[in-house]
Amino acid sequence: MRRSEIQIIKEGSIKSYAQVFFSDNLTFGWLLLLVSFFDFYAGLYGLAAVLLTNVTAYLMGYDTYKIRQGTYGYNSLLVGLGIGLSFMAGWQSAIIVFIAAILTFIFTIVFEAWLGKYTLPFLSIPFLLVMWIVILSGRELTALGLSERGIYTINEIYGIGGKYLVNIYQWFEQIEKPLFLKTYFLSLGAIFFQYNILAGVLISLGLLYHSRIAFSLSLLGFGTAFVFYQLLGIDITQYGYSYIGFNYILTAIAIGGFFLIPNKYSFLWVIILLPVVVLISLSAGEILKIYQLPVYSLPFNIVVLSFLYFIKLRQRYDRIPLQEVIVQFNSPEKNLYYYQQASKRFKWLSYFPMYLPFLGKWTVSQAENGAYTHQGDWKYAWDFIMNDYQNKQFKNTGDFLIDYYCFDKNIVAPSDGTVVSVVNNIDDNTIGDVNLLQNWGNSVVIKHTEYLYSQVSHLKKGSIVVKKGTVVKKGDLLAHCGNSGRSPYPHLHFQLQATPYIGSPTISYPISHYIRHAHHKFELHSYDKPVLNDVVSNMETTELLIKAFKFIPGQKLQYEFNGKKVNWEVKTDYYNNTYIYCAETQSYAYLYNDGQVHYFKSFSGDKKSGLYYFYLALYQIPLGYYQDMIINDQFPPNVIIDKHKMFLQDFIAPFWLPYQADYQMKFVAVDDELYPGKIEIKAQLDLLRWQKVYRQLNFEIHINEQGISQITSEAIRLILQPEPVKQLKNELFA
Amino acid sequence: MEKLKYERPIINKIKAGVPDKYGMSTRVQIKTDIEGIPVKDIVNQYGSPVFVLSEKTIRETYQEAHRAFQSRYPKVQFAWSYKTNYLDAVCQIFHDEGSWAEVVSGFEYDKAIENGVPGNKIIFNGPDKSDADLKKAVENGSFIHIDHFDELYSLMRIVKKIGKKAKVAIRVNMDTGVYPKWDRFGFNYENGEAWNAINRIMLTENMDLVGLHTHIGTYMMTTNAYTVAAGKLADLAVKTAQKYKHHIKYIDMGGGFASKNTLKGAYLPGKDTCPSFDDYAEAITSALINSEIDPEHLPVLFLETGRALIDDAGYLIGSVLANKRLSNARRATIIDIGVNILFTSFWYEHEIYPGQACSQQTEDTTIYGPLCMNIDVIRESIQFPLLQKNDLVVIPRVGAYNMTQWMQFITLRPNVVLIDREQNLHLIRKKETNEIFKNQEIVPKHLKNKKT
Repeated sequence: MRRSEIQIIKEGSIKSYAQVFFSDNLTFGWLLLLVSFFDFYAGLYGLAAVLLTNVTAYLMGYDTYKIRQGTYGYNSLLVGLGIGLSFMAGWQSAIIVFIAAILTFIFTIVFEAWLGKYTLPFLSIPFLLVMWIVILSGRELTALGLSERGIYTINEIYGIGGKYLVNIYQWFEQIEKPLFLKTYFLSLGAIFFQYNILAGVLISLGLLYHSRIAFSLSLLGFGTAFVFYQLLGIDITQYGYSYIGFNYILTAIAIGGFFLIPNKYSFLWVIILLPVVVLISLSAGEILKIYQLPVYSLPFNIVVLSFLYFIKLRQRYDRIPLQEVIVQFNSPEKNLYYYQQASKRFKWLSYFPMYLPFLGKWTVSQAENGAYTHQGDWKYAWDFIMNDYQNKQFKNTGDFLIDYYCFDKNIVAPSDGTVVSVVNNIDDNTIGDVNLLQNWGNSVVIKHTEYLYSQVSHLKKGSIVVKKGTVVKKGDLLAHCGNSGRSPYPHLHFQLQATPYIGSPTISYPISHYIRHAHHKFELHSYDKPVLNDVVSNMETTELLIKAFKFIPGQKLQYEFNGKKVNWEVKTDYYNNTYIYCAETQSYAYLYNDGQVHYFKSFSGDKKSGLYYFYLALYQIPLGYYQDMIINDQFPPNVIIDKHKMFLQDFIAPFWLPYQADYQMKFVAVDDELYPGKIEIKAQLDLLRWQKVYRQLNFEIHINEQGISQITSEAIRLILQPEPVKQLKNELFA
Repeated sequence: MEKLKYERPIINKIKAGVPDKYGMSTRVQIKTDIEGIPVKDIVNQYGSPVFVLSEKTIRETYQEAHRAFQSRYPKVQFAWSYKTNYLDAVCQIFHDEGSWAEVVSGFEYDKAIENGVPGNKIIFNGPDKSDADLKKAVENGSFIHIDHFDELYSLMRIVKKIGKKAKVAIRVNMDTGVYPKWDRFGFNYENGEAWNAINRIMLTENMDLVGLHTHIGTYMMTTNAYTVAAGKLADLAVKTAQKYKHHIKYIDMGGGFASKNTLKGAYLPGKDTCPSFDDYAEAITSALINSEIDPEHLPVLFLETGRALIDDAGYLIGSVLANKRLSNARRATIIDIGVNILFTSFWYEHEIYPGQACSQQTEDTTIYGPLCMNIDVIRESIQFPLLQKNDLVVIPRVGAYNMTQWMQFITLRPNVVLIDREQNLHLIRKKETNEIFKNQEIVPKHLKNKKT
């Protein structure tokens, strides 16, 4: 095996330990590995099972990324640990571990595929099934011999660490601990088949290190179950009950913060669901008792899978914001912060790009839920007119169509698509009249993607230049604004719908980017909807900005960072994410550019590197220069705020963020508005504590024909090192 | 009730026949106020004659034109044609609306700078640019529209000397299918001079060919000429892009849009026959959008419309000096507005409205100006009501060219006032005094009048 292959197996195996707690944190993995060796044979069998599974997975050609993440290993690990503890050590049990690990892996793949169809995780079902199989068959395999370990703990500890460790252990066991904490630690240890408090304490510290949210959820989940036991009058300290206490902890972490974005609703569901887990534990225990089978993690699997499937089948997701994690970062914190970003910033993930169907500035004369006709099924629509500076929509007396400013103006395709319906032969009404029989008037419907159609209506008779089947691109001329149908004066009706018919019911859909004009001021609205009386236009991009922010994979960037040369490269991964990579500092800055706005999505790596400041300064830049336009955005706090501050913040992050990092940029100056050769931008990073700024960073950004030529702030200077320009012109006429 | 006005008795031929749908005869239109301010008050305050400009009309017209283009083309920029009316107040209104400046001489260039227009928002046109002008324009980063090869050579010399890059465009003339052909300005398209000029510029260091400009004529009554012109400029842009991978940044379609005045010899009134801004915009933008120009590098569209933007906003108020009968029994009315201040009366059949109430009786009248010159005729023949001495007349649509081409001849130039959007009157150019002329003149010592 090559070094890289060994690395995959090694990393995947360590992470397999952490994966038991839905983590991919290596340190946490090492800690858990250590804890598992509290029982030497169990630890050994566990490690053997993990290595075996990961090597098999690699050789059989399964997804390397998942192997590296420990996704395939953790069920085998649990099986190995379980067998190690339940049976006497020896070559017989070693063979059983071997077989069981293989079987677990097969089950893992099968359940992954099977449940994957429902986009559900396979949790620890493979472990559960294999353990039951082994235990049921173990009774026949008399050679194995049931282990007595786990009962004479001190003997075992003496075996590992001598008298010294025994002393520590005993001292620890003897400390007066509240009942709740004692059972909590025991339950936590039981996940690794370690029925002792020291293991529990170490695991809980590891959990706290890995995730504050997961840690608080573990307490919340266990606490709820604990209270419920008290209410039922059952003594949770009984061995049988506390041995399955980890079900409460894992369920709480899974529902409260791992598979769902942690927020107050996910926490509330944890409180509601945990008594359910208790009931299932008790009842399943009764049934399994017949076969003398332990419950293990059965309640956890039942409840988490049922609940995840249950919430997937909702019809509306907006009433109670219970959001499934789509991009899994294996950490409730990262999931939360990413989601908070994504829900505000990365709306392109959920919407097809849609722009305004005209050129120039138009005024909204009827918005969504409008007073006249935008009601019921047709409430998500806009009417647009053109006004002069006195807010009048016509010149002269307004008795004739041509008096109206918007009449005969160009109507264009709001996005790429294919024309599916055209009506072009309805007469334009005289002013004040309406045609209720053909109330949509002349209209064009364009199909953009499945279940997304746009319709423009009340067009001028005979002005439509597209036909059914015409493929249009964003901005292509469709027709001229008119006054046909239910239109007393010339205006444009624009709506989005899910079906291809003229007059289909409307759907709520935002406009990707548009500029709102207010008294010589410009506001960029992204994934927003214009409201009544807004004066809006599409954003005109500036070629200089388009060029500067066009990062082509393979492109090399050289900057001078505080006097030192740094080399970056633009790359893409196989998910089509573009990022700038600094090999020297091992830093990554992921970006997204939809042709209208440049975004930096995320950063990881060295926070002293030039690339980090590059990311901070250019967090969001619209690609159209509008004098003095200001953009506000927010950084994910975990990227910017100090670690120790974040440690405290994480505990309450699902509910509120006391520390925030705000971003603001402003277009300051341009040398030539017509065709800019130099643009100056100011960007500002505000670190806020309880909504008060406690630190500020100001950037001055210069952009020229070469690209982003210079970024300076109080502390840093980033200067683009230009490639030598080829001399094109000669001195013929000089 | 006001006392009815005395009107002289006239004898008119009875027009027999059936009335048409408009009735028997043309009604006399009167204009007693401008933007709500009585013309009488304006004259009382500022004398007669007096030019009146309406800020409201200027802004509305500009916005209408801008809207017509902006709703059809992604990048549109207007540049105010200084020569049409370079009163500072007028220029400031246009600059406030977002217009750049289009100048055709060193004098106009300096005026634009003094009006606070940044150098990089000035377009420098015209056949007469001195070396000093060119140098200033290069240093300020203005857009220089080269008119002829001699200017190109001068500019080459200048940029080499000062070592700064010049932003240039060439002015192209061409056959657009209208008569007469305007081939005086710039390089001809058909004979290849324009392409020759482009090649020379492209191969010159320190010259950045940013635009192509044409001014196909003035008072264009057909939009088709613009379609042809835009198409030809687009061809040049495409050829340049093909040969040099250099994308022209703007196409300047000049001006020439007709106002609503009626040209001499026209059969129908101008307000019925001249194309609207929407018509011009449709012709020009369609030609550019449908051309072979790569949509990723669609040039900015520049317009230097002057006349059509300002003509409607200007009025000239004057008063009747005398009535007389000519040898052929035709009536003549002499007013205090002469061709010296109403220069456009050489081209237009200006409408003339009485400035106060009058009866519907009219006589075929010749209207003369006050100059002691035979050519001083404002209208050869007009059905005009029977005004008396000191009655007021208002001539609409005089905003373009009159306040720049006027002459100090026999009389002095009058006051110019502006009515702002709140209906306040502002004097924006004081009438000239003898003092002004005396200051300019130097009489040699030996001719100084001595006391005799």
